[in-house]
Amino acid sequence: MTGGAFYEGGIVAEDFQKYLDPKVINKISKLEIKARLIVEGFISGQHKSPYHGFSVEFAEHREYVPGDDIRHVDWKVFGKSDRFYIKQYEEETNFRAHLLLDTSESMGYASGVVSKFEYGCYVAASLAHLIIQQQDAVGLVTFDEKIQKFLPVSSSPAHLKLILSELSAAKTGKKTKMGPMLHELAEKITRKGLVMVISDLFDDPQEILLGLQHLRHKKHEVILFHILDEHEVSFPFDDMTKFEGLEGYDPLICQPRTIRQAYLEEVNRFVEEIKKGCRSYNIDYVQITTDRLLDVALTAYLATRAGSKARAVRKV
Amino acid sequence: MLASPFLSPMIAWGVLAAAAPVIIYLIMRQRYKVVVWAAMEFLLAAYKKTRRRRRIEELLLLAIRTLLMLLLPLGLAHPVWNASAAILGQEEAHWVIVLDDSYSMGYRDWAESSFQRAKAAACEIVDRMRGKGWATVFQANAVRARTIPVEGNRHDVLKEAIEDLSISHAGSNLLECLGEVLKAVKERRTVVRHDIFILTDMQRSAWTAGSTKDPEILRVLEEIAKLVRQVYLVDVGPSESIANLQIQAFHPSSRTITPGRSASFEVRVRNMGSSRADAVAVDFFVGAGDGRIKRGGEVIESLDRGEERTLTFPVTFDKPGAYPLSVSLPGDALAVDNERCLAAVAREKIRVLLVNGEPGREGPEGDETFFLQAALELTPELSPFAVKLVSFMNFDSEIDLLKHDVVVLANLPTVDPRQAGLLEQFARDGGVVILTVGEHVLRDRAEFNAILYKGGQGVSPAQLLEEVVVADPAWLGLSAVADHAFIRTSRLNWEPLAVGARFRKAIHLGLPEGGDSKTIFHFIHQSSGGARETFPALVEKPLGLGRVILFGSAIDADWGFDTVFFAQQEAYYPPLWYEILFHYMQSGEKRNIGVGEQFEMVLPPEELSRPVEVRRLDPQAPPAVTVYPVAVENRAKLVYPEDPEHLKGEGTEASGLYEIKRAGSAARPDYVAVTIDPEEGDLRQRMEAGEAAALFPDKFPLTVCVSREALWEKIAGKGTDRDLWKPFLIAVFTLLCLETILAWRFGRQ
Repeated sequence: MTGGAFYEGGIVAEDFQKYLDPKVINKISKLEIKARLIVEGFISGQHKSPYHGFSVEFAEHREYVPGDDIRHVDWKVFGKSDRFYIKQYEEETNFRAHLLLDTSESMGYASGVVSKFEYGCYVAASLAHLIIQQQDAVGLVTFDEKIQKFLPVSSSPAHLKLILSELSAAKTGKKTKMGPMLHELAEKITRKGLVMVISDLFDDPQEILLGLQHLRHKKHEVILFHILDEHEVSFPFDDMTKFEGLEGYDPLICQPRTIRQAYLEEVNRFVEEIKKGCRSYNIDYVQITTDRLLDVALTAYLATRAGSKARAVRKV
Repeated sequence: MLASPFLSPMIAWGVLAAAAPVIIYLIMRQRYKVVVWAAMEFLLAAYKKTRRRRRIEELLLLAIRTLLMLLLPLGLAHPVWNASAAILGQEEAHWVIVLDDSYSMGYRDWAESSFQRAKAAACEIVDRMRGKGWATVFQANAVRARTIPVEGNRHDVLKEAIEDLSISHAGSNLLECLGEVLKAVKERRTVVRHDIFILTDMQRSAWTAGSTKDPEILRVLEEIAKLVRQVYLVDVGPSESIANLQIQAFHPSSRTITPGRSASFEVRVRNMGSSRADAVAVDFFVGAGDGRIKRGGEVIESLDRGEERTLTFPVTFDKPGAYPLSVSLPGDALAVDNERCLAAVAREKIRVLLVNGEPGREGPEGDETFFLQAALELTPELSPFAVKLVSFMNFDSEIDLLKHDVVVLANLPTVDPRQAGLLEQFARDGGVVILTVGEHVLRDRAEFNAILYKGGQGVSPAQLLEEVVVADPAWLGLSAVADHAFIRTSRLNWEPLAVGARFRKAIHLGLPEGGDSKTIFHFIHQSSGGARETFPALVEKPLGLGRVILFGSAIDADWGFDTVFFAQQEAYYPPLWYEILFHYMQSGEKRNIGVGEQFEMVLPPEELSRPVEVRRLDPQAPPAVTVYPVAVENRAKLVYPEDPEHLKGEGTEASGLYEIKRAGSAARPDYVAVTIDPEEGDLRQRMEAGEAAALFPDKFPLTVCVSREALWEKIAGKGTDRDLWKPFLIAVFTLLCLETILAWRFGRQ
């Protein structure tokens, strides 16, 4: 369903899908609103609501919103009140999601209006929002060369505010050292769940893969959101350029055209190595460039979530 | 001085632009934009990986671009490569440049004359000289060939001197000029390579004036063929259709101009152009300079190509003396032959004293002077001669010879030494003495030889030998000597006299060996058996300012009355003596001369010490030249130019009227006219390349070039100096393509 008209904070938002565009969402200041708008935009493009599939214990009624499965409409209430209500059930869930956001200096690079870090924040916020909306628990970890912030998982709406607050406060600045950090987290997160890593992965790929392997070893499902800037994958420079490196690299003056091919080969080789490692550890790898719509991450999440439920049902 | 290896050396300075790619490269390295970059690890890895390849690519492109900027200005500067020098090392070259400066080279083809084209070609040749090259530049015409007095290795000065050259009014004789060229080549015999460049309009007359069959010219050509590598004959003549009207001749209709009597002057106008000319105005002037007055004019309605028309202009002179005359045509592409001058002299009659050795002995037909007098005075009032006839017995009483211009002694029995001395003095003072023989002379020929011949030192140009008697049906005819000045300049055809003049008696004439005596006519003895023998009949020799003529026969009933008078139904005897007397009376003075010739003028003895100013009557002419008459016998003789090899002023190398003015004298000035050779102006008579080549002996190293451009093509073809601009620019184009492809391939557009 598209084109539903309702008010949000005084702003008329007729087409929520536009908020999937990083350039559009970047114009909105408050992360909380951003997260909501992204999720709403994402949902308005879905044929099926992502919220609450099924449960055993009734919790409350909720007004029908477009996208809800009409199977869950309480027709009795409709008969009485002539309004559509959905029956909501209190799900006894043990789904736990961890958002790991890279805040290293390299994530601060932006060729356009949105940096990789900002994009990563939007992804993390929208995922958190969606997860909390789904009554699942979510936690947040920000890291660079070490863990900067660790918010344990929770499914309360207040926790969402906390996560969004942390994301708003997070800043980039230090080098990346993902390997040890992942190992540390693997030990730290005791209950298995879904770990979503949002990073540009500018670190030693072998160490990253070892860290991810460690997480898998601890029975976590892992989604790796590889955030890259569009310029980093196309290298569209022509004139003589001085590249000033982040994370302590020396500057380099060169004619970009002469090394474009070699650069792209290096990037592809790196991505391939990561992809190959992910495949071997059964990790979902999602490469996202900052010019793409923000629903990519949410779609990937839902696909994984649906997969884990299916597995859970099979086990029952 | 080292010659530049470029035809346009200034452009070659553009090679400094070769530094531009390096400078641009260094500047561009300092002009960059700054990008904060996250994926430095990949960038550095790529940078290290490609470092070697990029260095090679950079150097390769830099080298190509530098070479490109180096070759482009070099190509535009017309580099010249000397193939021979490359083979022979630093050889010294000698290039002889012959500039034909005959007046036909002044023909203006559009805005440029042939001579200007020749000068431009000469400068190009000097420009292209390499290394230690030496150039000798000749300015050649029919009068002389002279070198430009500039050192041959000072090329810039030489070019300036060539630019300053002006054209002459002379004709051309380039074969003769080759003798001077050979001398120049021999002067630089040590030089390895000689090339000769002849820059001419290919006028046929320039080559036919001499002959390659002449032994002397043949020798010169053979020596040139041995010493010179190549002779280039370059046609710089007009390429368009010719438009030229010419005054071919301008002379008096009669041989004598008498004061108070109308004299007429003939003007022959010819259309030398390749198309018809309409409304050709011909003007006739008397006087010179500012005092020139138009005394007649006619318009020729039309004149087809090659057609000529003769006009007559009458004029009457009041007093004796020299008069400057001129005729002119409208201006055209060749101006110098549109005007022609004449110095006409009005004089009283030529006074002839006839001394008869046998007066009336055999009646009119036997009279020694009867026919001669008739010849000179057929119509006394019209004849230029005033004849006085005396008997040999009255010769003494008439001995004041200065009252006469010509003295004829016809078969005088005796001449004593005193009379012989007077005759000699008369001749030396400018008079003409004519001696004819007969029975008296035959009888006393020993005395004649002793008194008048004196072993070659006397008055007579020859001694008298034995008598020649011809019996019927044999006879003696007269044969003209073709190269004698009289025969050459005569207007009449003397060939009929060979069979028509049937003399029966004559005396063998013995000319002294090595003397000045020359034969004008020979007797041809046709024997009864048909055999032919020739011996001198009419001989002459100069004596002082005058001339003595001896005829080995006579005109009377015994010696040659029958047929001489009417040889082949034409009267030849009167014209013969008429012409001879007139010719030798004129020969004391040369007032109407060709360009470059000397004029001679006989002046009274009192003029000897007085300077004479000679000035060409033209506002552009140089100042007057002062000359002094020289003493010849008892007269003063003015000769100008005195030394043609070392001219004071311009001599007579320019056509026009020359004024001769005696310093301090109020007398009327005298005039001399210098005229061009009309044949030179016929520009339709140009030679084709094959015709020119045929003039020279086999294996003569001649290359005929139909234009300046063809010259360089031929030279390039022969591997001498090669203009390399084309290969250079092809190389530039190739490098440009290569650079574009490589830059695209290397990602450095």
